[in-house]
Amino acid sequence: MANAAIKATGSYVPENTIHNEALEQFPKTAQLLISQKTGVISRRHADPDQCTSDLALPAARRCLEKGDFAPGKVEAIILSTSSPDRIQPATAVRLQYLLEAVNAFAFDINSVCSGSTYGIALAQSLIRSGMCTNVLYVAAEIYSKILNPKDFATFPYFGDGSGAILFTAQEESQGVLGSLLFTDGSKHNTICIPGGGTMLPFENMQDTKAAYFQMKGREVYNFAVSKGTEVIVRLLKKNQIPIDTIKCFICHQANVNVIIKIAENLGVSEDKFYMNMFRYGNMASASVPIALNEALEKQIIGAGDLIVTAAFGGGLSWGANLIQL
Amino acid sequence: MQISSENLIAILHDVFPECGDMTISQETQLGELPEWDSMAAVNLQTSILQQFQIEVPLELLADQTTVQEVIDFLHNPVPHEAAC
Repeated sequence: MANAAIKATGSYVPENTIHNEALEQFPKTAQLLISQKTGVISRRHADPDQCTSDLALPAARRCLEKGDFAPGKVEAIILSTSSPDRIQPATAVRLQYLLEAVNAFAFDINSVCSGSTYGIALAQSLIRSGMCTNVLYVAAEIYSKILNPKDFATFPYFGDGSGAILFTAQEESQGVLGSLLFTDGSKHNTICIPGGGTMLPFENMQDTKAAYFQMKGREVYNFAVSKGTEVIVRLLKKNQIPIDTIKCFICHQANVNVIIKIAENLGVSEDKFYMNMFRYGNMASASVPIALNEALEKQIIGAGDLIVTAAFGGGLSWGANLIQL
Repeated sequence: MQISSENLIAILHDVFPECGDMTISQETQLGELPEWDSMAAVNLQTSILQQFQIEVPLELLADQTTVQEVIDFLHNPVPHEAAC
């Protein structure tokens, strides 16, 4: 049975850089808290006329170009987003059109910030089942358009961006060696956009704030540290991989303090954790593919290395993937 | 907006919609509000600034601070020194 191996990666962030000092809607005394609490110094924002598939396209193109892979050869496109173009149809279908990947079937998944671990596991499943010989996984998010600009508890910490990974069928010793995915649906209100769906349609909304992303920060921090640590331990145990053989941990870039705590819990140097939230903020499901692409481009990781990707977020959902590059 | 406990309580209900039917009084401590944390404190600080044009120091917006203590500050907004 073939495994899903990473053939190429790509990423894209909008040019518009917003530094903490530019967030003038918040008191100056509060602006220092942003970097202290989360490590975020700046983030990128999409242009007003850009939608999520517009961000997905350059990441996908860069990925395919790097892999010298014609769009017409792509068999499937999985796009993870929690900030889609529209409620329907899937954001992936416009990407398929723009990319001219005419032979690919395309669909979205929404596991909020955990989208990357779910997308990677799903790509692996499509290839291992024999249904596809290649899968283009793309994560794209524009949180700047779903956040309340006046909400200090959310707005400063997120950014916009996209990442892509092209998986192709390879021999079993390479590629995605294992994945673990988890969901706790009892916490479905912990991270959510309350309005705009069938639970609270627009016409029933009494407060426009219901249309914005909301998050119970303290609860999410504890969840991320606890489950982020646990899922990595369980993944390595299940696959009988000693933790010191992992070259790099690429975690969801939610908060520098969450990652430092996970590293501490695992007894691993934080230097082994790739981090870029300082420049980009939390880009939800796009954060892991973008970090992975950067780590590869900077040659922090390369062919033959064992890496772990891990993410946690709305659902609540969490997961991790063990990958041999 | 006039500085009063009624208006401050209205702001608190707006900033913390999770309060729902919870009764907020002058004795209520900020830490008793659902979802209260340091980030929420900034949201409260921002709302108070918008409504009353007074910047309440973040040090004052602490878990143990009561609604009345915030009102007292708004009536007499002297520079605040954080407790050592």
